[in-house]
Amino acid sequence: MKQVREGMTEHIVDVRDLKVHFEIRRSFLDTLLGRNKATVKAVDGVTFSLRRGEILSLVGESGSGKTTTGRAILNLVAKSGGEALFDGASVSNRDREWNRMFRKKAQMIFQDPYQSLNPKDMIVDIVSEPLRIDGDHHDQEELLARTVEALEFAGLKPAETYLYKYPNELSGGQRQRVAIAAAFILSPDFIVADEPVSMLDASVRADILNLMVKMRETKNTSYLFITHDLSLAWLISDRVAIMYLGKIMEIGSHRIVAGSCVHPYSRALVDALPTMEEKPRERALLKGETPSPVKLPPGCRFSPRCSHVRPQCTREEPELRCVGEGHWAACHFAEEFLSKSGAGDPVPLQGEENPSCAQ
Amino acid sequence: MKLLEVRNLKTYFDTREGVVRAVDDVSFSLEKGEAIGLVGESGCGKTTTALSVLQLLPKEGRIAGGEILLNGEDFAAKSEEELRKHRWRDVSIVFQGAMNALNPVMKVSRQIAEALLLHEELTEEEARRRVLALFDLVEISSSLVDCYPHEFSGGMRQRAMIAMALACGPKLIVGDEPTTALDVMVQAQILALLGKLRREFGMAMILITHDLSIVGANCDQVAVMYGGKVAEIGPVGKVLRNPCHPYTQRLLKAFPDIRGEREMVQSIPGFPPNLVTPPPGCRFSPRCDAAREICFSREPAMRCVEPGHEAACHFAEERS
Repeated sequence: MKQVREGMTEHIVDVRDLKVHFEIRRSFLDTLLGRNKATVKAVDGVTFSLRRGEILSLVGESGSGKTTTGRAILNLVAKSGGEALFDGASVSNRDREWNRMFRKKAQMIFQDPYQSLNPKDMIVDIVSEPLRIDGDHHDQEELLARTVEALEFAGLKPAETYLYKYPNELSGGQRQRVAIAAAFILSPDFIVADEPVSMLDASVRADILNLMVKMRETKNTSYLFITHDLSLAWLISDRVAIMYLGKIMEIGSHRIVAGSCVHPYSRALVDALPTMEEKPRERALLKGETPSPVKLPPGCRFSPRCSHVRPQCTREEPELRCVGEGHWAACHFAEEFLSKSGAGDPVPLQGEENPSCAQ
Repeated sequence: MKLLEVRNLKTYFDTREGVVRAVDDVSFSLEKGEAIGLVGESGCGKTTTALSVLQLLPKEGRIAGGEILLNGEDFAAKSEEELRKHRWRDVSIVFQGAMNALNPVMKVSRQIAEALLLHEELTEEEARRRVLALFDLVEISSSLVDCYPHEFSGGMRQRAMIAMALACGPKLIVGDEPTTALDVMVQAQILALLGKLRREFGMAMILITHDLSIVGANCDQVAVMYGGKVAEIGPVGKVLRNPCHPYTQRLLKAFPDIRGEREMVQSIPGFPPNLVTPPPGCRFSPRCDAAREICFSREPAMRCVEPGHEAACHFAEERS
């Protein structure tokens, strides 16, 4: 999978201590009373990197900050701190030329194909639009040829029958294919796919996932795959990062969601997965719900719900630490859970601070 | 006597394009305390089947044939007036996204109390006590009694809707994708809650879902529906482990099995049938890769492959 040409960075995306905080609008009364401004720490110090041609899944419950992370990398929301690098350059770079390149090379696929396509545009316009506005001159013939190519790649064959249709004439699966064709037409290096199949029936999901994998095989595209579905993340990604309240709790190979996780939160998520087993094992479900990201608990943000909580957890916030090859967890007692998880023998800490080095 | 018996149910919708045979000859039955899962792609008739049981069809829909026996009484033949007495008290429903159906300007506890007062003769004080007991049952803290819906999270609101559905102690509860819009953790909590209530009160459940893995852990029986018909029905373990209908087999391959091999999921090519003019023969035949001549001309009857496990395929026995 490694196809690093000369002069290219090994990582297509590098995220370092990324923070996105939103200020909550205060009511008039709060302003009058001079109450403190409240901030939602949607993303609160996230570090990871993505190799070329790699699929990394960000999983977590709603409110964990996975979508905001994806949007911040594409510079669609302003960062409050930290850095996101694309091809070695900061995404908040103001250089015009660089930005034009960035917008071509980094694309996004949205969750809801019923809302992400303009209902007044024909398919041909939707798919060719990125080419028409990318600044390079393309003549009509080339536009059409490349649109047809993109549609056929996305499995809408023969493309001619779809060119002059409107989105409302297509099914959900077909619409998502159109969205993929529009992303594909610029041959992006990096795609943020935000729950791309969660609105689709299981019977068509596979096609969309296969398309994404095919695109990575032909174009070496890298993906940040955002999903709440652990089994999907396990299925299609190389690595998985589990987020909780704006932080990565654990990151490692896809196997961590199949059971070799060490963080108590990951364990709880994996245990909550419904399985086809007739007689499910007794599982300890977490009580209550994710607390508000406005008032984060002191110490480990998972500590109020953690069944293994100890005094240290409510005092110090754990950092991501290396617990195995390419496997990092933000828990003070990760090594202890490691031996229980059957993930292998604990690896002595190497004093590495930056997760990207061991991945 | 069975608690619920649905026999040859046919529910049709009269539309401008013609008569849509949304549910066409569906039969299943439920014992007291038993749970059945209805699964299938969108548009296969799962929700219409459930709405027919409750007689809550939209005005274009009508029950064109068959019987719905609840405790031996034919539900389909009752007048609206009589039905109103049974709904909520005998059967109730929790919809997908039901949490958005709460009235935003009325306290949650008040809304549940209203449902109670409408069906039972209670004083305000008794109703309030019942609401508190229900809150306790669905594990909502009693400190939230005087809150409005916007002060509840999505999971809490769904719990409140379950509390409302349980208010009059129904014998049968229908869950129409009750956890689809919720997070994994909340979903697991809600399903565990429904399971607990079912065991405690011997309540039967019809669980509608598109997610096969939910059925595995939460139901006793499963009916796989396709194009308005039951393709395969039987005890959950038997159907999921030994699927005999090609549609069930394909559907199982569309879900990743995190406890098994990491194999790419497979889609089912083609589209579900048009239910105004369904294909002749087996409705799945145009998408079935094992279809033979007879499949395109003759509709398959239900065939028993093992006790309690039936499949509507001409070659069901060969596949088991």
